[in-house]
Amino acid sequence: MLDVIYDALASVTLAIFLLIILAVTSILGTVILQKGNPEQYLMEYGAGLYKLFHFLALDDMYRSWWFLTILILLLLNITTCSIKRFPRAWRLMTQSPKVLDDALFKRMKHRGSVRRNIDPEKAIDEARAVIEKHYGKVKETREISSVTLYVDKGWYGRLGAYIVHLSILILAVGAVYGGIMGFKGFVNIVEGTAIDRVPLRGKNTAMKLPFTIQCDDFRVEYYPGTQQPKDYSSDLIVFRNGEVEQTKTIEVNHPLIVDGIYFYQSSYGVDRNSTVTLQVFDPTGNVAGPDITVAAGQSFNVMGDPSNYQIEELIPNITAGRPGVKVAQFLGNTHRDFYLLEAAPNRDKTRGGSVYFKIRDTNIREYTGLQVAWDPGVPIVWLACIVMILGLYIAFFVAHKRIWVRVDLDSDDSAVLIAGTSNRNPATFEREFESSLADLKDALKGKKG
Amino acid sequence: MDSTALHNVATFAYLFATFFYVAYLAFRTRAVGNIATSLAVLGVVVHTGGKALRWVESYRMGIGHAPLSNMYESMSFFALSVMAAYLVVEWKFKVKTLGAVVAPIAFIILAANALFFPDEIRPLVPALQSDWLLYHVITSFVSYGAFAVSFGISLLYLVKMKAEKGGLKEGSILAMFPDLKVLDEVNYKSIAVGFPLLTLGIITGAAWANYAWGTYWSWDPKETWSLITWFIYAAYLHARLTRGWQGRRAALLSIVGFLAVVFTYFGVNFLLSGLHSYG
Ligand code: HEM
Repeated sequence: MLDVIYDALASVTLAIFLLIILAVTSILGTVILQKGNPEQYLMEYGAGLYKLFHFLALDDMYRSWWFLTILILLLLNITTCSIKRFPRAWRLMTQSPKVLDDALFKRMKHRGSVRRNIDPEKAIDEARAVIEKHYGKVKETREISSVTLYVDKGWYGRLGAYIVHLSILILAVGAVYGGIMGFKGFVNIVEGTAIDRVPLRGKNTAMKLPFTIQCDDFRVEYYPGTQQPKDYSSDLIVFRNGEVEQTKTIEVNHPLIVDGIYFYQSSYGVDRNSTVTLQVFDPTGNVAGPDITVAAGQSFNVMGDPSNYQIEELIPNITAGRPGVKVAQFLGNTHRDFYLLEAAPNRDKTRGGSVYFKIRDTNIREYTGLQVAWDPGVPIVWLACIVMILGLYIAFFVAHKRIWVRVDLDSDDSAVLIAGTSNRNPATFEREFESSLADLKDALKGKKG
Repeated sequence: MDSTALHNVATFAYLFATFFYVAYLAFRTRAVGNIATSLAVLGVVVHTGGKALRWVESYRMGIGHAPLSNMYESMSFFALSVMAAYLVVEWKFKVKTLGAVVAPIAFIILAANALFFPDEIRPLVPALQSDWLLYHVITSFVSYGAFAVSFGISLLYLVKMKAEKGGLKEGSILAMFPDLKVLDEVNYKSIAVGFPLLTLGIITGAAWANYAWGTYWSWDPKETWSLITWFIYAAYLHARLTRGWQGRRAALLSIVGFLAVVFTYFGVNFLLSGLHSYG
């Protein structure tokens, strides 16, 4: 009974089945939103489907029990199958017959026999030359009545598949280790402030760091003459025990790394506590009231003006590297937006309102949004990748080829036998074999032929 | 001469190569075959020149980057990979007949490119400004090229197998294609080249992701689809180890694998959302 289970577990049929199941089920997670919040699912799929998705863990399927079960089955499958098959592969690699006896000759698919018209020792030399030309270094086994020339090339080609399988196990170790020990989080740092805690993703806790990170400045750089961002960057300073340990300007694709923890430039925005101070004028240019200091989202009124104003957005550099404000004006049922620019103080006069504004001062601070990740399994994963590539190379491009040539020493006119086998590329090997057979025929004809 | 002109020349070279490969199928004259191959080689050379020139042009515009960053550029590279992969197969296996299937694929890709995608050189968004882009895209697309060849061969395998069951006439066009056994082996060979390259493509993508944001795998749809493709071709490789799965069923798996490639490439961009905003 156990045997039956073990054989099934170690079978290639199961491997094909699992690989196809993995391919098919993986599609679900690319179609169904992953790790969204309940409202998103309810809106997109409705209550019934959401319940079903949640029950089947399709809203976070790559970490679900059933997906992990398939992965674990695959690992067990790889392990048992490799263990079961390795001894045979090893025998084929290391214990090839050194002598071409008749039984071996009959078993070989690629074989030929060639009449020789020259004496045996000469025939051995000629055959050696041909075989070395086609296949490389030859070993010789001398018996009383015959000599076998033997080439054993690329024996380690048979190891390739096992190396690839091993690399998948190493990969799994690295992924699990990193998943258990590491963390992922996200943190915003307002310009001029520092943090030493990172809220963890998907959890309600934060990670305390053994250092603090301060953000001095955040910038967006544009391609010249366009509004298309060229780069986002932040000037960061790392403090440890009250001393500066490192300063670095990070950009997209160029993170800060401290103690193996990555801080990746991921988003940005304007701090909620940023404010703007506005001067108010009547259309003739006289001051029409006290200055107003407001933050984004706040509303304000001006004495004697029926409109209601709201600050929509504070923009740190809108023109000429100077800040601006987007303001919404509500009057009765009407609503319009307008911009105030520090670089063009008199622009608002032309709007034609009952009052106009100038920016007196801004206190705008941006924050930089950093994705934070620490994964101690990464070196193991890279090791696995290198091993995998090496294994794939060996598996596909190193063929284990063996060639035997037997020259009988006793009778004069006997045939020379040649046989060969390769563990892959049968058609290529066949061509190669045929061509060496033809060369051998030529060589053994002697001068008269 | 700008890079677009060179692309146009390559497009026509592939078109004429298609004619001559088809003519070769019909007439089997050596000269026709040689013209077909010469046109294909000419196409690949001019096409490569076009890619190189486009690279130079982007530097002249002051927004220098490898010509692999949007749909137009990656499609063009895909067509180039397909043709280059095919020429290697033609040279190694001495089978010119397959050109009649593969050259039109390269032509259609380039023609569609000229019709549907803008060819202007655009600056790179910040997320794509990395040397890893180059390694990642090149390995991925060369593997796609190898898979495209195996796809063409698998189709041919199925068509020819069906025809043979019904009794294939001497001198019919299908009879001119290589034996089923040879088709099966060339199919396996191109997947044996494509699979390690796809693996490298996934690994360089993961290395880039890790270097850039400290996470080598995040199950984003593009990543996941490349893994799905990888699973399918792994299944193909193992399928060949068990008897019942050679020949027809293996050819079917290889076709499914290429459909997954195409979806990874187009479907994810146009139908699903994710980090990868380009081809
Ligand atoms: C994603 C997972 C896997 C990958 C990437 C992988 C990769 C490979 C590769 C590249 C080869 C060489 C193929 C060839 O020579 O054409 C191979 C061979 C093989 N694989 Fe896998 N494999 C995987 C899973 C499995 C599993 C689960 C089994 C379990 C039965 C398995 C069993 C075998 C066997 C029996 C061979 C032939 C070995 C030999 O030639 O002696 N593989 N594998």
